[in-house]
Amino acid sequence: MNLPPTLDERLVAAILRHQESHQPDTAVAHLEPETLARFAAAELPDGERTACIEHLAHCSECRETVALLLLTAEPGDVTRASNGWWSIAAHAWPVFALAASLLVAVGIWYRMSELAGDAVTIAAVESHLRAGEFAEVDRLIEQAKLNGIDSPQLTSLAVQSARHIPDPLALAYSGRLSDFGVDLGGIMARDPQPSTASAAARRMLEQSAVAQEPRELLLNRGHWELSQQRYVEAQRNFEQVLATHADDPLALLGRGLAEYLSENYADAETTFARVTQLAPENLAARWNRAMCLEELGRLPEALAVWRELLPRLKTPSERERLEKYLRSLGQ
Amino acid sequence: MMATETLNFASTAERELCLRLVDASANDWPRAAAEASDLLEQALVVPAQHVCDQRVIPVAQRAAFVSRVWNCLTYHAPGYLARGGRGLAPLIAAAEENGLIAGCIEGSLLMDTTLAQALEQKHAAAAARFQTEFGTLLTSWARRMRGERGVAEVENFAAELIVSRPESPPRIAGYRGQTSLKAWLKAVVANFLVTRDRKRQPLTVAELPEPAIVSTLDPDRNDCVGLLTPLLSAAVGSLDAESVLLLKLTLIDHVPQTQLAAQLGIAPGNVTRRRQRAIAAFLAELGRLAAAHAEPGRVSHCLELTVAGDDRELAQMLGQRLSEAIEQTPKSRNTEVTS
Repeated sequence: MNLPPTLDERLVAAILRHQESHQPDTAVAHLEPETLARFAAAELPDGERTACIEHLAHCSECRETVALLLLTAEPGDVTRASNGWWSIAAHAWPVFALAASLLVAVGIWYRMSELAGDAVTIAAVESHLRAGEFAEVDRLIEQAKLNGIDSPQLTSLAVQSARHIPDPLALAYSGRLSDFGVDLGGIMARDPQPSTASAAARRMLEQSAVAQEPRELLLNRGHWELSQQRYVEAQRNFEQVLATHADDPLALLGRGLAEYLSENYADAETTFARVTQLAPENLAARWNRAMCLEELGRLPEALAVWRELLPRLKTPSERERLEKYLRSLGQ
Repeated sequence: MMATETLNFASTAERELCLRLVDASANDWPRAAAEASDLLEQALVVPAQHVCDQRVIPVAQRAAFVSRVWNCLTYHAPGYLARGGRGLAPLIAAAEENGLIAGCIEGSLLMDTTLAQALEQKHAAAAARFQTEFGTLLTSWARRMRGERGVAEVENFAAELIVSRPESPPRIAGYRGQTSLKAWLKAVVANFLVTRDRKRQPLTVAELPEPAIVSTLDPDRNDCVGLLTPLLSAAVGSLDAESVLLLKLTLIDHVPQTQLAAQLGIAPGNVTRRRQRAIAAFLAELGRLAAAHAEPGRVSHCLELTVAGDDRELAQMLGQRLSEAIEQTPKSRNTEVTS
């Protein structure tokens, strides 16, 4: 919602209107509608986007077209995606490779047990998933299906593999707002999620609808919906889990993310606080809560949460990043 | 499969891209070209059946269809290869199943591109399909953009898209498959309505509201425009392009910050903060330029006259801001910007 303009804003608006009406557009040519559409949908790569902004700043006709597109935008029109887990997974590949090589030593056990039954198959698949061996995960699941072993749990793991998330529960691996594009200071990242992975995940999730969906599948579907910016649908999945497990920390974490991304910062803050209460080790909830408090303008409280979180962060790079950010806030 | 080679590779870059996609060496060019042509022709069978109501595209038109799809794929191919994608067939498959961009009809960029080409070649079935897919959407967009007048403007928009224009191809030829046909079409409608508005006949004198007539005829005001134009341009020019765009979209076009946040890739709260910073920087620079002008008093008078107009509150604030800036600026700098 836009607030009424301040006097400063009215003044600048009047000056800009005056300047625009007395100075002809300097643009010699206009941008193609396709470029304007892609700009409005945040689909342009960085180089093209910069050139487009330079043009739009001084071409009122193209800017008015973009304004109309933004004014009539519908949910899903803007491709705003996160740079979270897929890049992490890519960078962390050497670690997964090491884990995979260690697993070779015990691999025979998995080979023997992979077709022994659903529970064993799931255990084997989970191990390979945690090791980041996605091709092996896919192979095992395919093999299991050929042998008549199939379940929503397996589908849930297949979705994780398609999305290259090395954890059976997406929210346990990528539950921070930064995984959905909102970085420190509210800055949005813009690397799009590889859409082929998305398409594959979507197909599996659509085919998986059963009457009694297990918690894992609901949580992972909710996470996937969040990554697709379908916050209402995401929340529906988390609420379904909460209907039977009211204090499920991951379902609450998902609910908080959906609330924040729908700009309902107050509720999101309450939800993340509840997660911290239920699962103090959940750092994502603390991180997200601090960002909510910032959005709500409650900076002293946000700083208190950041300070509490700082020594708990596991990697030096994370700590350095947060320290740098806190310095930028004058702390 | 018999190689048909309907592709006409326009440049060396396209040829190299084709070799990379087909995973062939330069020496193996005939095979690469034939394979690419074959794959594209095969891929077009189903969309053509849907769009043109016929299984096989007439031979005379085949090259144009293949070429259009190829152009679409060459745009997306670098990103696809950079993400580790390999092979032309999987790239085509991604275009077929919404793996490149979202929002296409039936989730297929290939379908969108085929429909665009069929429209350009005036296939009756394609026009009917276009109407089914987009007829209601067009009306709804136009209504939201310009009310009932907008609806009237797009009444026969399918024809508007396919009819050749003086010295330029029909609009539909401009769709290159970089985004979905739906997103492109919406931008075309928006641009069409904006252009129509700007080309509208100017109002007659009788239609002008009274204050506007006075202002046009006021010599003092016209002098002021000459004085202010370079000064305001310099003030706007002091901001980076993104800030200028942010200010114009929010303050002139009234785009809600939620939409803008998503587009600019920042959180809604950050739009406010960034806008506030840009406004502060802009007003500070304007004050500095006005104070450094050879006639700061005249600049102040002109700004109040032409910018604030009858808005006394605004004029008062402007006067206050400029006085503060003039007081803070050393006299030696009062020659920086002159008209």
